[in-house]
Order: sequence, then structure tokens, then C-alpha cells
Amino acid sequence: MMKKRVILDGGMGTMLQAAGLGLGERPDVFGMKHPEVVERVQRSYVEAGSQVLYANTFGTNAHKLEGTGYTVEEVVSANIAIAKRAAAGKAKVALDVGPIGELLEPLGMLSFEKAYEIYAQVVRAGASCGADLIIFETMTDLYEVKAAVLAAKENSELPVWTTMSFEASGRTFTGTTVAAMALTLTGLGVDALGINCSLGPEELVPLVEELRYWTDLPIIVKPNAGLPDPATGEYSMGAEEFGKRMAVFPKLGASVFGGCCGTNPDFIKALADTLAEADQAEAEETAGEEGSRQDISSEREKTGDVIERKLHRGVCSASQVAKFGGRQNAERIQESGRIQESGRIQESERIQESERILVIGERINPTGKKRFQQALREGDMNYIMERAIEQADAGADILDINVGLPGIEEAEMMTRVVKAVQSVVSLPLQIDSSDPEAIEAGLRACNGRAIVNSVNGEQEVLEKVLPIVKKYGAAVVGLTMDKGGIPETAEARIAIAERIVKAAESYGIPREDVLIDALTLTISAQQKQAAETLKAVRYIREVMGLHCVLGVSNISFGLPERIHITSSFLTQAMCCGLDFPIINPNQKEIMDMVFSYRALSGEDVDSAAYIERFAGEAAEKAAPASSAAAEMDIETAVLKGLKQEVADLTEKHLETMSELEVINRKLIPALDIVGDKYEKQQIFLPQLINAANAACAGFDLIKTKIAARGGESLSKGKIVMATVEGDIHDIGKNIVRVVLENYGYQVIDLGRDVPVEAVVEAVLKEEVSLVGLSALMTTTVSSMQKTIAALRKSGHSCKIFVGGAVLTESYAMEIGADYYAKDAKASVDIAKEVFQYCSGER
Amino acid sequence: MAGKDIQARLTELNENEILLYLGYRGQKYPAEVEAQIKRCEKDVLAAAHPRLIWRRLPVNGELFSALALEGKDIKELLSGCREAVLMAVTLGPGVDRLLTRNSVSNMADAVIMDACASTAIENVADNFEMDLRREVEAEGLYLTDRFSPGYGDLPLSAQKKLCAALDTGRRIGLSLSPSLLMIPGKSVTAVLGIADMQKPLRKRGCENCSLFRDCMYRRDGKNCQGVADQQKKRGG
Repeated sequence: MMKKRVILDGGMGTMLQAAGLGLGERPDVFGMKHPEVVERVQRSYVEAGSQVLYANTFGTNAHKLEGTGYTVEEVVSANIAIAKRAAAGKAKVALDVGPIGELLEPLGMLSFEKAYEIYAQVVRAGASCGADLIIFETMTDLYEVKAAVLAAKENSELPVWTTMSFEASGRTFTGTTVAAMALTLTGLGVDALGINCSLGPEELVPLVEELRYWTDLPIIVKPNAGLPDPATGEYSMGAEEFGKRMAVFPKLGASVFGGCCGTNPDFIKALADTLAEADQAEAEETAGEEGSRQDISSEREKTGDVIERKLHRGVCSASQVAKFGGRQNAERIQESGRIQESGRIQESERIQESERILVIGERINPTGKKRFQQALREGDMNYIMERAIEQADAGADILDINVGLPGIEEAEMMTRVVKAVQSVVSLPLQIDSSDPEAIEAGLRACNGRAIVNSVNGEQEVLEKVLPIVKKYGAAVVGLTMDKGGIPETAEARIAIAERIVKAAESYGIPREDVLIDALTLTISAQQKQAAETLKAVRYIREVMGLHCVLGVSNISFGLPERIHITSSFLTQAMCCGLDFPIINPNQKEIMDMVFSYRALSGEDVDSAAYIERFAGEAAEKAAPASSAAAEMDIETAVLKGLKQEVADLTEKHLETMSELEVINRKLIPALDIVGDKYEKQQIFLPQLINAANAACAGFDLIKTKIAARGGESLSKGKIVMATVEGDIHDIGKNIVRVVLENYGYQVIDLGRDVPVEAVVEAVLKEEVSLVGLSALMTTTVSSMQKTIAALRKSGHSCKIFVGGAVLTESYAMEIGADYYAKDAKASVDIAKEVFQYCSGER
Repeated sequence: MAGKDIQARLTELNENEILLYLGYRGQKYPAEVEAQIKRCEKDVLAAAHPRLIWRRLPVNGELFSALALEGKDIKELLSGCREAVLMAVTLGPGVDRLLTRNSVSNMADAVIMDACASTAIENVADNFEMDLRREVEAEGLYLTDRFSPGYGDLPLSAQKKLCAALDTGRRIGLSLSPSLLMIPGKSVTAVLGIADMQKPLRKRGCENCSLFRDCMYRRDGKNCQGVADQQKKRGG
């Protein structure tokens, strides 16, 4: 079962530098000017044994070529032609593509869609001039790789290989893990994947071992010649040593090999010799094994030729994996006898594999939540991001994202919300929609591998959604219902589950990636159904070996003290094999059940997580309950920054006052006192914001109450705020936003790096009378000036206030602003003035 | 091998410097705020993953000359120097993520963490400077101050040249936006010189002064040496 091995080339940059390439000069442009030099280097690689040449196109893209006078098409075709001449039919030529050179959102400013366009252009250029395959290498951001792979697959038919660059910690600079890379890219259907650059061969061993657990695709290893001398940038390892150290990788299951920084044709020659020796040894070994067939499987596992059995599965963000449990309980029961013979440790490992409860947080969903609906309608991403953070803090493993609401363009909103959520939490996502377009939008924007929620037994739905699931390599939830509705018996639901799995498999989606939802019905309406659901869950998990999902809380709808029914049903369902409960993780009692179950099932080894969760709680209970709130007035609570107390006092005041009265007579005067103290330097910045945060708790309560009864949102006026184009320092703007919101203004926060047109558009659309702009750098004040000019040109009469570290009163006036806000307090005074004037005019 | 032992090190957060970034003017503040600052420091230290890349180049060599760094200040810094050192340090994207997340969930924490992170990257840069100074002095040579793009008359655009020469994207994951912002945000690039003779070093800021918390100049928003102005500039 020897895998076909492929030898790649070695370093290019250092070879070209030796041939006259200057520091910081572009190698691809150098190739245009000195094709013979590049050809000579590449030919020497072919002579050393390279079977694939990377064309000299590593940094070729529209972004990096800007200002060089060359187009992407020119540079790609010239350099591919050079590689083809050097290969002379003895090696394949890869279009070599590296990072764009600018970081993608959310860390950087380049949008995913723009990155896709940049890669698509390179891919089309490479495909049209006859590259044999496309390789994306030295990547550090999984999101960027995803854009690249989609661009390659949607714009060419060529094989796609990818390698990323890791640190010894097993993460890339941006935090992508080996497992997340493997899950995501295997799902997207690349043809080979692996690791390049980063480190020397020795340091890559554990990373390649890890990679093998997560993919069955061919693995590429292209290390540096050891580690560089920091002072000179030179690599120390010699060719012979490099060759020797590469010998370990075929045994670890890798099959494509080459060298990166600091390597040259001698290294590739040494590598080729090593691989030839390994082939020889293996051939002898295989011959020796004839006749002792029984041992072959365990032997192969050691040498890495059979890896299917060990393959891990899961969903992920770029930096975090939610690993799916083992294939089925039945398998465990069946095997336990044998395992016990060989020792207890193995058994507990096995159980851990099988019982993995992954909590899916359900709170990002507008259904039945007025306040959430309002946030969606107002495009208030902050509210949604807060819901994401809350659930992550509460212990969710995966977040469900549902943005379906009449009047909202779902696909567009899905993209926006997915991006917003993954900018603040690193949990894997579940894209929840019945609209195929919204599902695709969500999967595309997701940085990692997601679950799709959901398909059902309807043929039409399966045909529309499963191809999308397959394309993005997602896992999928199948609801056990169809055109005929929800069947009443477990047997009928199981039949639908079988149909869904069969359909998924026909699209190439493995059954391990199908999660079945046997559906929770409300016992207050259909009491007998709870038992049927549990029966179906048990069968689906134990006999069919599939993962089970259930939206749990529906069980208790319409009953008093729902928590008892919900948590009891959850426990029973987990006992039956529910491993993906969809719940509200903010409900403490529900998460308590999950932690208890994990301890009882053995998943939580030594009950460590359970102990950690509740040890702290015991201490809290022992402490005397604070009765401070009862005696404290709201001014003191705000000043001290006490959120809970402010919320409690707001609640109390609402018994006797209207919402508006509480705001105007209680919360705002309290904030005024704080502002005054700040101005007089009696308190400093953290205290000011703590107070604002605390007041926020009061406002949130009021907003939720108003939304719940369907009332108009209370607003003293709308303000658009933005950190200007080119700038991402938005902390100042965020402080001002929080404080203005607390004074009852509705802030439409456009975020950071906001294009000029987007500000103008928002101002016109929302008809606001005040706009706040922030810029921190001298380089971005010019784009502030442009934004102001564009606003004036639009003819809108809005007032503009500006702030930021490099601005002064006179500078602000110079660039055409109406007001300069030196701090958050000043911006409140400006808002008061502007809106007083506005209402006076009316 | 020379310099092999110099690692990116984040050793401590100067609390005076954190308070300085937070606009502290000697107010009394409650223990809760003190604890909050401590907690934020801990979170920043946990999220930070400092990385360093540097190169020693002969000042008169082809590689350094090709950089063509502009301005009188850099000439002055390197006058009498045989070698130049290019450096870049970053706390990594984990800190940026921490700040983004907290500016949604807890703005006050975000502001404090931002101050802690600014202090942290200064510490990483200072530690490198200290380690390199020790090494250089062991060779019988002297290290100058470090000088960053945006200081004096060295334009911010020099950032681009330093990042390209050090290949910071590939080596430490540091890249530039088109508007020359460094991403991750908490990063520093700089040039230093290695000279045969000791050159005068700059004065340090208020944050390193033992009178910081009670200084009467600071309470009025002033300082004893015009150092605050320098601090302000560095904020960019």
C-alpha cells in the first residue's frame, strides 16, 4: 500500500538573492527582467529530482504589483513560461501563490470578498497559460486560504494544493491550528495539504503527526533549512542533515516533500536520496510481512499507511475545534470486552471518544425575541455580538446563527452577522436557515468548518441544500420530518433519518457528518411525543451510529416553571444519546445539567470541569448576601459602576415612574454627576466608563421592556458614528458611543475603516442630524477631511463632530468640522446642543 | 552564533505607564478599580504572544543603503555608526482580538487593556534593546537609542521599508494596511545604530519617575521636562 511520493522544489528567494536580487526587490518582477537566471535555478531543481516546480509567482497579485507597471497576467504568464522551459516536460509546473500581503478582516481591513477577487485574477491568469496545478503556500490566515481555495475552485479545473506556515506551538501567527486547517480545507475539497516554511524538519514532526489525525488527504511537508540566525537571517542546516531529517515524514504518512527557506538543489538531491532509501526499506518490509497478514493492520497503523480508523472529525473556527465524539455507542459496547482485557486506560479513552456533549447556543435567533428583532432591523451588530460573547462565556461549544425575519434580506444579513460574531468569539458556527441562499452566504463567510441547520426528508430540500453542504464541506442537521409533517412514531422518524443519510451519502457527505434531529414537541400539547422522541434518539445514536441534535427547550412550552421539565428532558435525552443539545447556555440550571452529565458519563475526566464550575459557587454562597442595593441610590450605583444594582434600582423605579421618567430623572442626572466629576478630575477615565457601563444595564432593561410590548424605541436623536476609512483605532469612538447611548441617543455605529460613501449613505438613509467621526493617525485625518467634504457636498444639513489623538480644536475647524470633541463628555455636550437646536427649530 | 539568544520577552507591565495612558492625574481611586486594572493586566499578558525579528546591517552596505531612509534625524542617529539594526516586535493578534471583544462586552476593560497592551509592547521593545545593548557592549561597541518611523522627521512611510526588509509578514505575522497602520496594532518597528563611541541617550518619560503618582506638575497636566509631549506623539 505504498503511497505515490512526490518531490517538490526548494528555496527560490535565497537562490535569486545570490544571483543579484536586492533586499525588498520583487522576485517575480526580477524574473521578468532576468528570465535566464530563474530558469537556471529551476532547471537545477529538476536535475536534483524535483517533480513539481513552483513557478516564480509567489507574491504575484494585484495588490503587490501596484506601482510596478506590470499586470498580474503579464507576470504570471512570463514566469510560468520560464518554469515550463526549465521543466522541459520532466516536471509539472505549479502556479505558486502566497499571501496577499495585507491582513483580512476582522484583524485587518481587507474584506474576504476582495481577497477572493485578488486570488481569482491570479488563478485565471495561471490556468490560461497552462499551469498544471495551483499551490497556495506560506499562508497564515485560514480565512485567506478559504478565499484562495474558493477562487481556485470556482475559476479553474486545476488541482489545488495548500500549505500553511506554523509556529512550534502548532498555530499560525493568526492563531489557526493544524486541526482547523485540516478540517476546513479537507471539507473544501483541496487535493493535498500540509505545512511549509515555519521551522526546520525536526520541529515539524509533531505538527505532521497532528495533521494525520485530521485528514486522509496527501500531506505536504516543505520545511526550512533549520532556524535562521536572527542577526543575519541565514540558515544553518546543511543539505545532508536536511535529507536525513526528512526520512521521518514518509513514516508519519506524508507523501509530498520539498524544501523552503534556506534550501537549494543540494537539499532536494539529499531529500530524493532519502526517499529512495525509504522506498527500498519499505519494499523489503512488505515482502517480509507476506504470510503474516493478521498483523498487517496494526503494522500499517504504525507506519501510517492506514489512517481511516483514527480520523478525527469535528467543526471549527480558525482557532478552535469542536471535536465530534466517536462513531457510536454500539461500537463501544461491542468492543468493551476486548478492550478490558488490554487494560483500563484504553477503555476510558474510548468512552471519552464516544461521549462528547457539544452544547449549541441558541440565542442568536430573532424568533419570539422582540429586542433581537429590533437589533436586526436597526443593523445593531453590537447587540448581536454581545449575545455571542455571553454564550461563549457561559460555556457554549458551537453557536447557532439564525437571522430569518420578514423584511430582512436574509443572505446579506447572514454574511454580516457571521462576520460580526466571528470577530468577537472563536467558537465554531451552525448556520441556521431554510433559505439555500442564506445558507451558502453563511458557509462562505464562515472562517472554518460549520454545521448547516437544516435539511429534512423532503426531496426538494435535500436536492437544493445538500450540494451546498458538500461544496463547503460542512456537517448537516437533518430534521426527521417531511412534506407529511412530523411523524408521530419513532419508527417513522427513523425512516426519514435513513432517507436523509442516504441522500447525504449520494452527494459524498459521509454519514459521520450528518446530525439527526428527532424533534422535540411540546408536552403541554402532545404529551406522548416526548417518549417517541427519546426512543428515536436512542435508536439513531446506538443502532444507526449517527450524532443527535435536539432543540430542547420546546419541550416545556406553555408550562409553569419550565426549567424543571426542560432540564429533566435534557438529562434523559443525553442518556439516550443526544450529543448536540441546542439550548440557552445562559440558563445556569441547564448548563448545570450538562456539566453534571459530563461528570457522570466520564467525559469530564476526574470531574475536573465540574469541580471548577461549582467550587467557586460554594464560596460565593458562603459570603453574606449583599443588601447594599436596597439602601443605595441610583446615583451612587452608577458612580460606583455597579451594573446589577443599577438594573435592580431601575426595575424598582419603573414601578412608580414611566420609562422616560426613569431615564430623564434618574439615569441621566446620575451620569451628569459622573461627567462633572470627570471634568473636575476627581475621577479618571476607567471610572467614567465603568459608570457608563453600569448605566447601560439600566438602559438595556428599559429597551427590552419597551421592545417586548412593541413600543417605539426611545431615542433623543439619531447619531451616525464611524472611524474613518483607513483607520482601525476605534477605541475612542467606542467610548463615545457607549456614553452617548447612555444619554438616550440612538447611535448608528458604522464601525471602523468606513468608506466615505458608506458614511454619506447612512446619513442620507437614516436622516440623522449629527455625525461623529474619529481618526487616530495623521495619515487618516485626510480621509476624515474627505468624509466631511463628501457630507457637505451631499447637501445634507447634518452637523459633524470629530475626535482623535492627533486632532485639536483648530485642526478640526480647518478640516471643516462643526465641533471638536476632546473627550466623551464633550461629545455629550455637543449632542445636547445639536438636538436642542433641532427640536427648537421644529 | 551572535544574537541567537535574544528572544522576544514581555517581562512586566509598568503600572505608572498604564495610568499615564489612562489620563491619570493623581486622583484617589477605589480598590475595585485597582483590582480591575490588575485583572486587565492579567488578561493582556495571557493574550500576548510577543514576537521579534531583527537584522544587523553595515550602514555603508548595499542592503542598508537601498532602504534610503529619509530625514536628518536618522542621519544624526547613525552618524559615527558602523552598523544599523532594524527591528520589529509585535504582541500578536490575540491582543487585538481581546480588545475587540471587550470593546463590545465591557468598554471600561477594553480601555484599560488597551493601555496595558501599549505598555506591554514598549516593554518588549525595551527588553530587546536592553539585550542587544548588553551583547553589543560585550563586543566593545555601543548601541544608540531606538528610533521609529513617525518620530522626528523620519516619515511614517519608512514603516513600509522596514517591514519589507525584515519580511515581517512572513517572519512575525506583522503587516501594514494601505494607510500604514501596523496589524497587529500593538507593534513597534525601529532603527538603532551600533557605534564605536558612546552617544548620548534620550531622557526617559514620567512613567519611570518615582514621583509619578504625586507629582505636582503632572496633576496640572504638565511635566518637568516636556516629556508628556513626546509621549503624546508616540501614541500615534
